[in-house]
Amino acid sequence: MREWFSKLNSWFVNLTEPMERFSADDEARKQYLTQVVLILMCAALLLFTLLVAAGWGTGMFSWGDLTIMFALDAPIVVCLWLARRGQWRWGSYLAPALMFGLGVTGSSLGGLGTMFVIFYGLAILLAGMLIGNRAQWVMVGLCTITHVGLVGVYELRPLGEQLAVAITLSGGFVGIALLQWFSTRQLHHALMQARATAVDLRAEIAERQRTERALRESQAMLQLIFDHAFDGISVYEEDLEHSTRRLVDCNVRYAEIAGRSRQELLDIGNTMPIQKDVGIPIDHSQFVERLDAGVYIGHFSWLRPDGRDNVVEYAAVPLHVDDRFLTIGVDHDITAQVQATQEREAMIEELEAKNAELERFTYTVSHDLKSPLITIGGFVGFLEKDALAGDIERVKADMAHINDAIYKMQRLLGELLELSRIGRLMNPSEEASFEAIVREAVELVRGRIAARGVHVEIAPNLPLVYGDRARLVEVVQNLLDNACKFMGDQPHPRVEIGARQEDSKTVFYVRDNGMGIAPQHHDKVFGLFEKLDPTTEGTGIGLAIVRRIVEVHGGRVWVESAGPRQGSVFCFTLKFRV
Amino acid sequence: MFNILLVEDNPAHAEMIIRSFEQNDPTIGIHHVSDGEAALDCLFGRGDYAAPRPAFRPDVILLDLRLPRRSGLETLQTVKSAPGLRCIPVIVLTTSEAEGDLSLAYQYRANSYLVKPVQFDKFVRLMQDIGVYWLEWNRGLCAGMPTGANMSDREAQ
Repeated sequence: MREWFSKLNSWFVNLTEPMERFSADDEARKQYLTQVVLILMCAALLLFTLLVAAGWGTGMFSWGDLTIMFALDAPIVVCLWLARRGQWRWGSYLAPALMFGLGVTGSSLGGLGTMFVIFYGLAILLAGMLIGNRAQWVMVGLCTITHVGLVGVYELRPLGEQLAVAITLSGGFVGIALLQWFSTRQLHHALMQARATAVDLRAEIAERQRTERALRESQAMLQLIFDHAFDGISVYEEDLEHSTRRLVDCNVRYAEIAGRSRQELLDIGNTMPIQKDVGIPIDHSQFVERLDAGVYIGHFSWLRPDGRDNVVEYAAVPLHVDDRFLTIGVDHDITAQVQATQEREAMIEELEAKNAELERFTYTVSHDLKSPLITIGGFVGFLEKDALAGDIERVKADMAHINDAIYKMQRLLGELLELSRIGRLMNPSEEASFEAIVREAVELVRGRIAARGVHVEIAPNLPLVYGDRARLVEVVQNLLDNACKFMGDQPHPRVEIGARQEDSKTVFYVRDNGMGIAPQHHDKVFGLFEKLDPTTEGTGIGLAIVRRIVEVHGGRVWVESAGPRQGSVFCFTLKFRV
Repeated sequence: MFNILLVEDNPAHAEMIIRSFEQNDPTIGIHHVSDGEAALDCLFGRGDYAAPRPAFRPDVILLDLRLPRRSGLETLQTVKSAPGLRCIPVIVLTTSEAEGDLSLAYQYRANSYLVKPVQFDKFVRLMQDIGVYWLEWNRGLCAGMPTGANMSDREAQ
């Protein structure tokens, strides 16, 4: 029994309690409806008043009634004004109260069953809509009691009839109220569900936005790395059936290394034609092998449009993703390193050669300077002996030997100094006419040329040369001097100086028809202090100087001679731009 | 009477050596040539030394290394490869103290390697010692023996 009662109670409370959860919405809705209703009522009343005033239904209403009707507008307007100001509660009470009043007035005038009962219905509806659930039920009770009471007062019907009327009326009013209540409840349910869904949606959207943001950030970071990495990164898709590949994506640096724009490379797609030494295209089985092996390293070169082909070292990883065969590569331009290594090796070679030369030089020098010292030491001793013995002739001879040796040392030292200077003190290079250089050299050797009666011929159309003019004169002078010295017993000594073209290089030559040089000595003649014939004058340093000067100019010097008595041709080249 | 073949291109040095030896022993016969080629000619009895002159058989050869036409080391090598000549002691007498020359000289079977001193008294002493050691103390093998003069060219190479 108690259960039933409490259940009933809770149901009743449920029926009548306001929907507090949505009170804010409710308030707004009621406020809005209040205003609408007040406006409608005001307008309807005005219209009615005007119509009646205009002449419609003249019999029914007196001028007094009209005034009242007109006056009724006032509170409506006031309430409307209040509602606009936010005090809409007045309006929400006024409207149902007005309807109720109209109902009471109308039914007391017109009796039971008149259409003024509608006003009761409207009052109930408005109470429910504008005030609340509880007010609605209050209004139901009020209307029923009032109408039945009034009718009873005015029409004095029998109790049974009155009761019947009361039940019918109340039933009707209750029905209206229930309908109102039910529809409101449905509305509230729908609203609640919508709310819940909205909350869920919002949460989901927020979550999704967070995820998106995280994804964007991660993508931005990856893109940053991809774009700014100083190594080239590439993604190739392999077409293993046709043994070809296509560039799917790469970063800007990759394109830079290739000497093209990124878009160009992507358009080209298959980059194998513009690469060198990249290895034969691989087929399916080879790729699968590589998949197992993992990272592999290699080298290749790009054929760049600007001609500056480079050497690239790469580390590549083959992948099998989603039925696609991809190769991801990270490339590093090692051209600079390769060049540096080559340069270093060249430099080491040069240094080794220079070292060897220096050793030879030191050896030769020490030996050739020691020799006169021995002479001096020896003859000083003999001199003493001979002086004590009073042998004047011998004394003179001894002193001559000593002086010769001293003089020889002096000359040696002088020429050594000259030789060592050549490497360091060079005049700035300039363009000069080889013919002018030759003529100057001829002038310097004039004495010896005349003494030996040599006929010197200078070839025509000699080219321009680029180098240290004074040194080049020395070269020609030394060669010319040598040619004249080593004429041997040639009755018609001739020297020809000219230039010829050999494999796009210019070869300068000094040809003589003198003693010639045996093939086994062709290299030795340029050696320091090497003299094939010790009886000739000179220290044997001339050709060494020639070689040094020519080498400093980036060229090469050599001698061509068939053998003794068959003349010789001394040739040399110069690098044009030193 | 002893004979020395002196192979020396520097005339001043040659004079010094000859004078020193003659001072110590006026009976010594020194034959001086200025290059390796002449030395070989002399030893093999060819060229300027061809028959009918008999080939020169010195008791000892004093050999300088820096020679024109044919270097001292080459000459040494040739002498020490020739069957009839290899018994003659070859003494390298040079200004060079280079290790390379030293090792090559012994590789080619030089009997001794001497460096010319700069000071006079040392120089004289050295020449004296050479004479005493190699001519008096040392027992030579082919000294004084008239060999098959004018050897065939094949051997002479």
